[in-house]
Amino acid sequence: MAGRQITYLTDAMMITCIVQASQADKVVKAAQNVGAQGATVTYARGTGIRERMGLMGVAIDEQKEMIRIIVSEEQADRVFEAMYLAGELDKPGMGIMFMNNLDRIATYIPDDVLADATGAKSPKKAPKKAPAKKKPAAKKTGVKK
Amino acid sequence: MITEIGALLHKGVGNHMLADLKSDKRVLGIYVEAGRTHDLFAFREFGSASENDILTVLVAEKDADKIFDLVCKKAGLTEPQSGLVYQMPLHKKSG
Repeated sequence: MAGRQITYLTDAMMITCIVQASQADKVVKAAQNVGAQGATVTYARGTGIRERMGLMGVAIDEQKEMIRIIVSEEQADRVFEAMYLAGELDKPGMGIMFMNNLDRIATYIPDDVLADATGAKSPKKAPKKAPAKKKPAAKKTGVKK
Repeated sequence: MITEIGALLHKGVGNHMLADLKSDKRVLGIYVEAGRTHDLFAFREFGSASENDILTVLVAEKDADKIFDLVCKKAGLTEPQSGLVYQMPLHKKSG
């Protein structure tokens, strides 16, 4: 990483959503529809509600999918609501979701994007010529001899 | 106060980083999961997704900056399509 700086991004949140197996794709799609870039999905095994629901609990899949999505703070509520509705989390046993504040994120950021964000000149772009300022017309002094 | 440092990485990179970091005295806990990602990598294996590793490192807050930078360096974040590293505070610890 010689000569390179790490750029930290802030004001981001991580949404974690745990749903029954095979439900993740539709939840991710709903999140993408409202502006999330994408998601990371892992498999897990759940316990708790399944046992508490007795015979009804048999209908709940023990296998779970855990979705992680990182979004900006402005997007967070919108994405959270879309995921909640898509996953039907208002029904018992369908899953749970929560949101955490992130202190910072680091990832690859192209030089030109970074330059635009910081207002600095991009090293890759040719410097734009500043429009030539019109010189104010010289005042006629009208010196009389 | 402890901090969670997480990294979404290419498949296989997580286990290499686990092997490198597990003997570091500042690391309180380190775990790797495997999953699929939709947006991090252009390389696609399963329809719109590709396999990835999720690394979780627990460190004390005072060590977080150094470990965060170390994870970023090992992840090779100066290259495109290399993943993402994040840090989030945790409120309680035990042990």
